[in-house]
Amino acid sequence: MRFIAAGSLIVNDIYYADGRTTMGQPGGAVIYAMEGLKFIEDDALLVTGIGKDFDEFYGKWMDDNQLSREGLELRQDHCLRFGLRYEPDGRWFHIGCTEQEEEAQYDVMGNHIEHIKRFLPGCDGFYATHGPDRAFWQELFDMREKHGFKIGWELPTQNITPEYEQDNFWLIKQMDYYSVNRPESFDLLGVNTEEQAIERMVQIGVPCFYRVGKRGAYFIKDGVAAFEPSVDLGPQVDPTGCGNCSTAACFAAMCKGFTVRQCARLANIASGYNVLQNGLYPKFTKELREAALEKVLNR
Amino acid sequence: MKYMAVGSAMMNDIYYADGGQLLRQLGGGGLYGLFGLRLWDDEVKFTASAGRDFAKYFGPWFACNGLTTSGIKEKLEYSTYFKVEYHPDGRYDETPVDGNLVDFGYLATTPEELSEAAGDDTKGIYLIMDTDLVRWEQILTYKRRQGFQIMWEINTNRCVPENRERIETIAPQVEFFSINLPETKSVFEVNTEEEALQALIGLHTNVLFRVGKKGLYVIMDGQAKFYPTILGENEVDPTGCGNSSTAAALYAYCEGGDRDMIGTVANVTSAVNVRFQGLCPQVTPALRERAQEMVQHYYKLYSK
Repeated sequence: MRFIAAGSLIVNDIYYADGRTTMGQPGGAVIYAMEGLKFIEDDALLVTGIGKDFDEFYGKWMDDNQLSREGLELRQDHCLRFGLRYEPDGRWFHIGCTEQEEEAQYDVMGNHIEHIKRFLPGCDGFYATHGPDRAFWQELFDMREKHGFKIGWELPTQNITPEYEQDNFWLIKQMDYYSVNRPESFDLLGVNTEEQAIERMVQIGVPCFYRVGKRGAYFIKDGVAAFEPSVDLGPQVDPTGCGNCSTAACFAAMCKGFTVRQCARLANIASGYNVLQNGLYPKFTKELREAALEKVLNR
Repeated sequence: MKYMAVGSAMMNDIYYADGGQLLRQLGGGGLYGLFGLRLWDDEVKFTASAGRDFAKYFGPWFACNGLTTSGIKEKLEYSTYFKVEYHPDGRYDETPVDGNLVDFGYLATTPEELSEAAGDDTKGIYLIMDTDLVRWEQILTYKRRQGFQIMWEINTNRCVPENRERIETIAPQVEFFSINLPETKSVFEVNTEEEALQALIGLHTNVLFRVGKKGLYVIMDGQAKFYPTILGENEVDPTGCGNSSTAAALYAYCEGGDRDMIGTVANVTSAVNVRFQGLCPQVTPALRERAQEMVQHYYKLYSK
């Protein structure tokens, strides 16, 4: 199976809630999504705009994980770079630039539909974090009709507001899969508890990967909700990207036909590897993947 | 309809021993029995009493499996909803989810309702039932009048020594009786599988004797044959394996299968059921075809 992850790369200067900092860390939702996809399937393609300094931050990881550069498009001198501040409850915010400046940069370096479309024939699963832009997504839905791939959507936190409510629900109902975390679910669905959120997700009827922080995650599909606790693989260093990584992993596992529990479990294991170091897990190998699958399938 | 499953429909929140959970899972022995029949035949029906919320929770599954809900009687506001907690040794506890009324007595399908649902064309009924002699007299009267055959799977909570005599009275009057090892040990106050087997042979009726992960025995004409479990590629959830295999055994029996065929169809059904998280979402033509291929393969092996 071939999977594609599309989105923006962002080099992060991270300010953790406990006072630690990490400067110049390669990130962006899409690269952590690639991590999650790569955990499940070797054939994963990154489709994004890059700066001339791409290799400085991402080159080694791309090479170590044998990732094709076919989907990369050079667009400006530098990759996007933002400050990222964590709150104690796990929420994070970009800092150091205005919302308008941030949007302007995303316009250049984010998802360009004509660029993405080149890679969709032959794709089995397309995963993106992208705003609720109906025109953009409609083009993808049209391509899906033609080529038969599944679409997974991680809703961007900044777009889960009343202003985008209609767009969000219009889109969710057309997706093959979507994901939100706990605080986002309360805002999106207008509820106060996980149970209420799950009830709404079941009613919506589209498979949903529902991340509930350090505890773990639910995968809601076909009327049932499977919860799997977080997987502890060692001392936890940096949670950045855990949501993106686990969301993409669950999506890929779903596309590959795993059960709801297996999908949630695999997603948690992927996230468990992500949290072990600053930034990306260095190298996902076939042996690592097979060991994780063995563990999940033979429980 | 050719076959009918009679039992309970319920929602389950399943809590596994490893910390995982599966919430809002459709379940109940009756539904798994229905799956066990539906895997092999399209003309199957479910008869049960349920809550007003039946369509909301169960409707989509019935629709996608082409099943009629005409046998469902709305008797309460809410359907049955249980929390099922698995222990590491495989045993499980069931407790009602807070706030939901559990009224199996009120929700039990009456003999009259069973008769009405069966009509004149039902060949076989998979029935999860207690040991109440009055209800059984009525059911057996309808059985003689309408000609359907019965696979009786006994309610676990009726498997106590005090009911041994009732079981010995009822079981010989149905075509097949189904019980598992812990239940048999409890009823007959025996300690070993061999002792349990001999006790069931002593019922002088056909018995499907399920012995867990190991497999099952089919007891017919005073002889027992063991059929080891078919080990699958991806065993996910054992919930409902007993119910589905029992109902499938009824199907094989009614269709004229010999003992080996009955054991094979039962085990194949269990092997299919265990691959799914909870109830199989949909019996597709491909799934049935695969099951039929498995029957062809394993019948030859079991018959040797």
